Amino acid sequence: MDTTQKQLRAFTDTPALQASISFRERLLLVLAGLFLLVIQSGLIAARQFSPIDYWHFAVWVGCAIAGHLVLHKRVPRRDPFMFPIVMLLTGWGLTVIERTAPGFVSRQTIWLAISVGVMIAILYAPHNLRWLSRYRYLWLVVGLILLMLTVLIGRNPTSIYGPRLWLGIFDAYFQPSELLKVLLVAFLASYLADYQSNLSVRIKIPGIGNFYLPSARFLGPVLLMWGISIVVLALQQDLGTATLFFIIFVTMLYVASGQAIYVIEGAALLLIGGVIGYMVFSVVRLRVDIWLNPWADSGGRAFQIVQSLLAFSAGGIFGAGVTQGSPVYIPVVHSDFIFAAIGEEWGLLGTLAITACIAILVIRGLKVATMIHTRPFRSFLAAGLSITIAAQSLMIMGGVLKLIPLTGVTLPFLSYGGSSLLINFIMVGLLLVLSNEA
Amino acid sequence: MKTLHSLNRLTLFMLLAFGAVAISLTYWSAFDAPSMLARSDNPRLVEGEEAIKRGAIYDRNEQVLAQNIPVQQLPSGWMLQQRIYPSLEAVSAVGYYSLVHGVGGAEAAFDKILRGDDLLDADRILQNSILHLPEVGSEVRLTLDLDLQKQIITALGNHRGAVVVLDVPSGAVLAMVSLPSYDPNKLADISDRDKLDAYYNALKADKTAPLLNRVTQGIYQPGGALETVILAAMLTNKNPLNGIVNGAMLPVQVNGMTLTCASNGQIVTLIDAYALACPAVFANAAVQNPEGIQAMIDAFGLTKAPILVSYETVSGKAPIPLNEFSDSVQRSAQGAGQGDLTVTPLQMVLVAATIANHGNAVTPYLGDALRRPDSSDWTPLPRVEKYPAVITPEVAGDIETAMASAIKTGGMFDSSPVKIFGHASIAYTGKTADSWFIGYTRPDQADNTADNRAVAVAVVIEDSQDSSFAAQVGGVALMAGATPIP
Repeated sequence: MDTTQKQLRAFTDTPALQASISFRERLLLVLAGLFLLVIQSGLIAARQFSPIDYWHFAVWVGCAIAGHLVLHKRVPRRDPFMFPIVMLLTGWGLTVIERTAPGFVSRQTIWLAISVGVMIAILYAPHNLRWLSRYRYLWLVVGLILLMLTVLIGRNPTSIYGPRLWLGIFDAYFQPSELLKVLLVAFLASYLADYQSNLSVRIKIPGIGNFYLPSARFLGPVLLMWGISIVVLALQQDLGTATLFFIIFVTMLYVASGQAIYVIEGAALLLIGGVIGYMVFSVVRLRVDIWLNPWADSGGRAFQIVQSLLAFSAGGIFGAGVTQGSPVYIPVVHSDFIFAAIGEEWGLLGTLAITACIAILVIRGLKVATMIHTRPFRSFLAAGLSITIAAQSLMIMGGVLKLIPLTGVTLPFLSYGGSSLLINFIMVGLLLVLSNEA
Repeated sequence: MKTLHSLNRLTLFMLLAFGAVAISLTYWSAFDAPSMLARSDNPRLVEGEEAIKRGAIYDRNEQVLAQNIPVQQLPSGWMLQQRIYPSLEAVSAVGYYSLVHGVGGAEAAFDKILRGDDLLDADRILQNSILHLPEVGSEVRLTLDLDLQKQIITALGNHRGAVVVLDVPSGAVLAMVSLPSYDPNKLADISDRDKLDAYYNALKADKTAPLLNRVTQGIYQPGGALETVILAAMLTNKNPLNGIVNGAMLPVQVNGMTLTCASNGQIVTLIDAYALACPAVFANAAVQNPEGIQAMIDAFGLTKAPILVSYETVSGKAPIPLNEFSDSVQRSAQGAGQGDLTVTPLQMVLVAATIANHGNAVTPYLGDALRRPDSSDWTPLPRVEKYPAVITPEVAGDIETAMASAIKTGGMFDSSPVKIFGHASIAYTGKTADSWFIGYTRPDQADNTADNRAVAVAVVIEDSQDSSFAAQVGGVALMAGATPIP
């Protein structure tokens, strides 16, 4: 630690500041809790659910309290906004799942408890995170093996014909690609931190200047690992996650090297990949077609996106009100299109609030990365985790709004999906650990 | 440091990206919302339609003819409404309401009121939007008498045709029967779409045309029913009722058919010719006095669609005026009611009503009153209260005498409690014939000063050469309809 940071640490170690951090967090949690209580009560009143259904809210409160207490104890200098934001989003998502697909809400509530539990476990692991950086190859290989297992014994819990991306034990399903997301970010953060200065090869062209090209020697193994995951994902037709991995990879390279060339190359490769995908995969062709002109086939292939846009329009600025809209016409509204359901019932105010919440979460994560930029592994990790949350959120929000073609990713924290929720909470847990020294 | 630099750039990019999402949200939620919501694939429009609390329809004694019952909850929390029709007998007047196949009859005529569209001012729209309320419609009371309607249908049995009963001089339609008809419950039942479509298509394909309202839109050859109108013309032209008419028994050749009249001996006077429906006299009158006959046909409104308040009615294709026929054979055919002049039962009941009203026309109406959702008072619906003169009261009185004679000659209604005036006749339609009966009764005959009120009827029975059956049905209608109106 250099002098500045020592001084900073001395300053923030005061109990008064820690108390103020916890107070802010507590206040935000209470506000979030009240908001969710009102929604839950409205749901129960409007739909004649029985008061027993308050148990979802009770679990949420329990998780909020447990999380807050552990955070206060283990990471007292953390960012006070992150945990309340993710709890708000998760709780809001719970109420929307209860509204649109009541059969799934119990499962999601249990996953919430598990996710907060695992997050707490991470808070008790060593904060130097050496357990992540030291065994990076091990973690990555485990993740890759699990992913490759889905090719052999993968299942789809909701439909026989959908992509078989899950591994299942008894009635619990887990999506290895979600786990691999975190493992890949951790691996990249550690690897890029170690070889930061060797990433590029400088080529001098007389008269024009310096050109930087990626160094094959150092990037080779990384590309190999990453390439395997992309291929497996493509095999499994999980092209949305494949795209996400690609974006995370390129962005982390950019952050580590500072060379914009990676972004340009990455964008070009993405475009070429998209064109090839369009020609080769009928799924890609379908998605691009309905993105460009959904009105032509609004009753058939483009039904989902048109109904999604209709839901936003039906919400208007103030929303139709809880249970007073009709978002259920959108297929799969409880996971991929949950944003549209919120658009219909909470209106523009609700969707802008959620957009702001996610934006604040991501930007504060990047701010953590900025503030600890002298410690490359931790900085890259913070940046990578923020990028992951941001990229995934932007992909699905852009998709349901017809800004970009639809991809099969879910909205973090809000969508239904156990493994997604668990991994997102792990990411936030790591971010909170990293924010503790900022 | 380059990391710092790239992180800052990245943060900026994030802000822009989320900003783009925010702009897109604003576009879809605010700017493009109205045109999006008007799209036909917006299921909320159908939901809004399905949830409308359509007003009930009653007969004049507030018996329920049509009403809504809530069935199940829609995704938006409103209740899906099902339209039911407890009395199938009223269908000719009430019509049907179908989410997919539109509306007919009274459901169509008073659609805006029943849906509540007339209550939708800016305040109400805002209230509905904020409180998430479905549209509520007003109730409508018809002038129809359900019990009378049932009796007429029983009297008609398996026959096809139309009966319409009018209160004179108000013009209230007391009964409107068109057979064959259909079951409107099946058209309103949305639980099985395929069954509904199959039923609707079967109705449309049915050659007996059950969906047709024969009273307002059934087009028939008048045949002998035209004789009343021609009699009016002849009386106006100063032909005396007891005047001798020559050649009354002669047969008339029309389109290859030979028309005769039923008589047992010689007929001497005009009133006898009318009573026995002898076509020769009237065919001849058309030949001798085409302008006068044509003027009377026009005056009684047989060449244009009559007004039935809020309804769509038709008239037969406008025939060539009598005076423009150069051929006396055609004129004769027209006078016998077998020419190209066609009429609807509604037009014919107005003939009877005019005579009952001492020669002054009446305007029929079916909608009596409406009741707003939050009120217990009935507000009268508009009606026309003008009674332009068509024939003089003296001529009308003479026709009444002739009609009384026709009834007596036919030996009908001898034991009727009320005195019935009417005329039965036959119209030939190619291979078959239709029977007509038009007439009226005066319920308060005992009281001489108040003989203004009358009940008029027009009956047409398809494929029936037995005009006495038509008369019988008419008699049932008149006797039942003569009960005092509260």
